[in-house]
Amino acid sequence: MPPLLEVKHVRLEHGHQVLVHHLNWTIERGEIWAVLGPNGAGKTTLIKTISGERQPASGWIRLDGMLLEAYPDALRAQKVAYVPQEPPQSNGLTVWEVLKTGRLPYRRFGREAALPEALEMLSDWLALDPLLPRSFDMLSGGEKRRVLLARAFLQDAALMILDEPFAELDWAWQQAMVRLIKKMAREMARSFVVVLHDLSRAAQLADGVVLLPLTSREKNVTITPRVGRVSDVLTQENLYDFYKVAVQVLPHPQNGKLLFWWDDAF
Amino acid sequence: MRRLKKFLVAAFRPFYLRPIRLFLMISFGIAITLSSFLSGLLMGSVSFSLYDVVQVFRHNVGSSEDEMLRAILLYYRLPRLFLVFMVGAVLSVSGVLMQAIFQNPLAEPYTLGVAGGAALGAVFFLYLARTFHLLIPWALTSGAIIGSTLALFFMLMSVFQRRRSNKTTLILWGVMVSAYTSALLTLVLTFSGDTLREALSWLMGSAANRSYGDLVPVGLSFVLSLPFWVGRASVLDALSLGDSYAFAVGIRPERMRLWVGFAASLMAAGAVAAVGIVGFVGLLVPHLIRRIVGWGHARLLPWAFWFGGLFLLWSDLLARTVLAPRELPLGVVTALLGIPVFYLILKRGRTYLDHDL
Repeated sequence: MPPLLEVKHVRLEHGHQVLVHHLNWTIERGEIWAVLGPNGAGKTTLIKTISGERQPASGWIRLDGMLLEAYPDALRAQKVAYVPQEPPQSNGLTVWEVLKTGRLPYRRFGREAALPEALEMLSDWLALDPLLPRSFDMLSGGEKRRVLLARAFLQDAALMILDEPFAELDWAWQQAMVRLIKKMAREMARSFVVVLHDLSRAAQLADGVVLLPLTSREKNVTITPRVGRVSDVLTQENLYDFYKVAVQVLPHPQNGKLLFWWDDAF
Repeated sequence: MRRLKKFLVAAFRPFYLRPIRLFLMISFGIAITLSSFLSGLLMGSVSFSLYDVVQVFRHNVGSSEDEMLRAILLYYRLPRLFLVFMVGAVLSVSGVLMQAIFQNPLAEPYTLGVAGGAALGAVFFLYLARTFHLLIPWALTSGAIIGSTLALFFMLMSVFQRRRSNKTTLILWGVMVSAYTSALLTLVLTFSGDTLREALSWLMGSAANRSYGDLVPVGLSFVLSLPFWVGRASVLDALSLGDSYAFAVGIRPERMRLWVGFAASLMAAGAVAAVGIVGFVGLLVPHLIRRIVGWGHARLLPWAFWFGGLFLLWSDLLARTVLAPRELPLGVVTALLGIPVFYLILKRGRTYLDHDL
């Protein structure tokens, strides 16, 4: 069985600026990956590329053994779900209508396919019931985020790409979402690629990390992105190289997950 | 199993149109449709009584006077009613589709200059056919279709070349296209002299003196447009969430915009070919309907079709009775009613969209 997503020799450019020089990355089923990096490093460009919305400048991306760009749109959307960073502009739809668009990839001749059994509980998991009849524009930021995540889950995709999913959620919902993502990864063999800024959250959630450098044209130094297990990538030296911040990396005394601490003295 | 049932019950509850409200709306719609058609038959430069109408429809006609009554009702007023109903319905659906693909509540055949393009194309083709004796089948309709499609595709290209389209720039592009088409229109009319005199009254928007044959362009363009938008309500919902969100569920926004835009301009062209330029129907009716049934296209499209037809039917009724026996141009009536709505949308801006339905 081929890996779920295979990124080979990919180079990303934005305008004339090179964002990522060379990236090799393999995502297996059931893995959770965090994409980290300073602002402007190209995190969003990278995940737009693996979701198929952008083309890489060179290199190729294989989804389930087949070139991503060769997929018909509906089939791609059955395998890859993507939640952009910004919630949609005002549109007047109800939450239910927004959620329904998540089932569009499964529509044949105007008929929706039945909801898979594993997703029946979705409404309970994300406490969507009271939201369903409300206008999407009137929701708070965190509620919108929950609805958008639910829409992506409804796509029933093997790979889910989430751009800063925790940004607007309150602390309790962040924990619930971490649990939900892990549950879906373990029990339903879904893979996740999550863009994050919080290193501790990444260490808590992810199996692997892609750490993107900020490439600047002036300095003309090329740092290759680091791809690997959390404990291998999120080291003190790497974090200093990539963020220019001295961070203390401590394993949690009980579960060994990494914690990050930096002195706030100037 | 119980959970599934619970989810499905919760999910398929029609939120705005709970059964009682849906029932009320449908019966209200049917009642108002019947009474509109009836008053459309009764009112006019010659008034009839209900008894006359019933007699005509029961084929109880004997004298020549009755024969004339029958002719007026069946061959003058009834086709006109059908025509304005179809045109209103088609314009209103066209407005909904344009608002969806441009992701902008102010989009409408008239404000985008698509109606202007259609009129220019129609007049230009008529001019070619009359002056140079070119054989152009259905010159008016085919010219309108080509003109409106070109205008809409130009708008799509120019608006979506920039990454973000916003409310005001779209209207600026529309103003540009309308002004240019109307200048060209004047130019063609000046050059054509007397050959196109009847085009002048047609351009102002009028449904007078129509027979059943005049239903063909608008009916045909409506039927031709159906495969491009029917069954795509959920797709249009996804498109109104923005391009990224639409792409994520397997829709190519630019491709969908082309197809749906083609359907919308086809309908606008049919309407222009039938009664000339009638503005603001596609703005006024969809926004009124949205306040009742919400923004989801599955419900919006059929209701907009129905009530768009009724709206134009009543506008036409006003146009021909207020100053009877003279007739007001249809476009004047819809503009008088529609521009206040346009003003409100512009003034209230985002809050108009943000209201909780």
